[in-house]
Amino acid sequence: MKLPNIAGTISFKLSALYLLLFLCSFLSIGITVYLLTIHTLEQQLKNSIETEAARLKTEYDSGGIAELKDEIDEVEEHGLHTLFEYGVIDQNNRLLAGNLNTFQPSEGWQTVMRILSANKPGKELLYIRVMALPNHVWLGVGHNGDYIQNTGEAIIQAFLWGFVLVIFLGAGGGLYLSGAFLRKFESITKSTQAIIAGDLKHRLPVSTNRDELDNLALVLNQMLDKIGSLIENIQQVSNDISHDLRTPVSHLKFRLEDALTRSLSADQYKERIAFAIEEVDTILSTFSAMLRISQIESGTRRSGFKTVNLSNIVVSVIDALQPVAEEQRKIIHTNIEPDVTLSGDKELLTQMAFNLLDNAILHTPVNAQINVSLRSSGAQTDFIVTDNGPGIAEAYRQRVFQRFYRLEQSRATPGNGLGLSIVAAIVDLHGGTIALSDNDPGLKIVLTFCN
Amino acid sequence: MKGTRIIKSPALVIIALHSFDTMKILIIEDDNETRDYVSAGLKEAGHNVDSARDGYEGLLLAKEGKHDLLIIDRMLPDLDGLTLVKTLRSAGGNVPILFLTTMCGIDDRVEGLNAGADDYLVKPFAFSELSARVNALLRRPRETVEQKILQVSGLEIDLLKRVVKRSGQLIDLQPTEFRLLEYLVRHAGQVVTRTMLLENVWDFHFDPKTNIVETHISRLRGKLNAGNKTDLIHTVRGAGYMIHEAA
Repeated sequence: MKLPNIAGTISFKLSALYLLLFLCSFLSIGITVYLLTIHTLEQQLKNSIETEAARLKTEYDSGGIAELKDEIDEVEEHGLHTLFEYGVIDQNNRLLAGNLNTFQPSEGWQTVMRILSANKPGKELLYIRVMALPNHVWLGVGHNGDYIQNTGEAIIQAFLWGFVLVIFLGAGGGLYLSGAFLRKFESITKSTQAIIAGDLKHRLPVSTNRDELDNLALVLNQMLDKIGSLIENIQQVSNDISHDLRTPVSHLKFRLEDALTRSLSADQYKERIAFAIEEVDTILSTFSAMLRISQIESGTRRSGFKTVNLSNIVVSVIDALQPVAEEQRKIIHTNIEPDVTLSGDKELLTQMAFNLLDNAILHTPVNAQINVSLRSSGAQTDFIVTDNGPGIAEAYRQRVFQRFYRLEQSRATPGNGLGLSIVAAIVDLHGGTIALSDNDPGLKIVLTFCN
Repeated sequence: MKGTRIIKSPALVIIALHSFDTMKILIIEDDNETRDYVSAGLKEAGHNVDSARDGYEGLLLAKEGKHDLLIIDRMLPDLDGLTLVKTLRSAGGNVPILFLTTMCGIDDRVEGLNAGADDYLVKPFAFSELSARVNALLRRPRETVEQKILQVSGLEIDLLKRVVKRSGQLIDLQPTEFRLLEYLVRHAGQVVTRTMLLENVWDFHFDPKTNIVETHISRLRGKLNAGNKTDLIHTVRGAGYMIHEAA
């Protein structure tokens, strides 16, 4: 497995996108600031030009062209308003006063791009307010826009530097983040490869900061645990098959071989064949019990869970086994709360109750007392089977749920050692728990289900 | 039933199967050994047997509509058994269907019955089990009229009052015993297997190690035969139990 390069990672793509969006907004802010500043400065400049032009117009109105010329000359001579430039022209564009003559005889604002003199290279923008005075004379008051231009340039420059800085910081941050992200992925990939290579106990690394990746790794680890236990289960089943089914099959083989080598009557052969079929049936039923356990443990039946009346199930099982108990002179006492319900599989819960009670009848001596009770108390449902038989020593209590495990004391009774394994699998499927304890004397089995 | 003879010995059960009307049965099964085993057994029992190896061939034959019973395996090449049953049922066919499932598919039973099969059988099975179920299915259509009182061999079962009388004498039965007797009487003249009883009387769909059927039958016998009457429920060795149709 090869990791993608940094530019191909999702985190890099995301940070690049964020950077792009950020640059776009940065750019639009820059343009807005620039335009607003320029506009405001222009407005201020125009206001001052307008005021100056209006002042000169009043001079003209009171004293005619001569007065105006005097005023302009005086201002220019004394350098009072050196920043303003003035000019008065007639309809033939002849300059009557001042120096400014680069405007058209028409009322309003004019801008002129002017090449500067030899000692000052470059161009400058001139804002001119042209005012029509009586007797076909036009007054022009101008002012250069130098400082507006300079301010604009300063703004652009500031933003350009900012732009470059943002690109560097954004790209660097993106690279750093995707690098960290990649390293995490790389460690996950390495762990996965180790698991593929056969180290099934290996788990994905989970750091302490518990980000999304850590959560994902945690869930994946849980999945690996589950898969691990399933694999163990399968191995267990194959072990069981090799150990516990080989024996009866080889016994069967010996018997058949033995029958083959002897000369027997037709009836004797029939008898032996019938016996062999019985053996095969036993092996087959062991097989189907094992497959049933595996199926129950796989959990697929859970999808078909319905609300079932556990009381009815238990009553029907007691009803089925009561004559068997009586036949063997064992007494069943019942204390079944009616209409206790559970979300579950009716067929499996029936088998569960049956196996437990059947077990109690099977493994107790004559005149044994067996108590079956079912009660529900809001949060939980307890199904309890007790007897006053020999019980199970504490050391063996957990082992009776293992497949094919049979207590020394019960080897003589019929059975395949799978009855309680099936019960355990069914209880587990229904999210319940089993507790075995001493009934003083005897065995107490408590199944607890959450409501 | 026409031509049915009274059988005194359980060994004569094959003759009893012969005595049924000849039925046309179609078996759809890809495993050669199972197919030949079932087909040979049913032919020996006097039935007319057709067979198909895959789902499509089976569907074509089944659609001809000339069979009295279909035996369909769950796992088939080309078209699986479940789809086959669904297809036949949605086309309106109501021929009895016996569904064969493997022992590892504990959900197959429910799925098969939901798809429209009438009964199911888990492989591997004994031929006696298959034969008993085939006979029960072939008889099924005759029971469409809901009876209120079942009568057989001097036995009278009132299904409404839940009362049983033998030769006019009242017999007190527990509810389970009543259901057991009712099932046997409804299938009078047929062999009823232990598994059929477990499924239909107790609704137990697993294999209980303890033989509860035997115990319950023996109790029922004791009650029915009280007063030295002849045994009504016959044990058919290696197969199951049977109540004869006529005394």
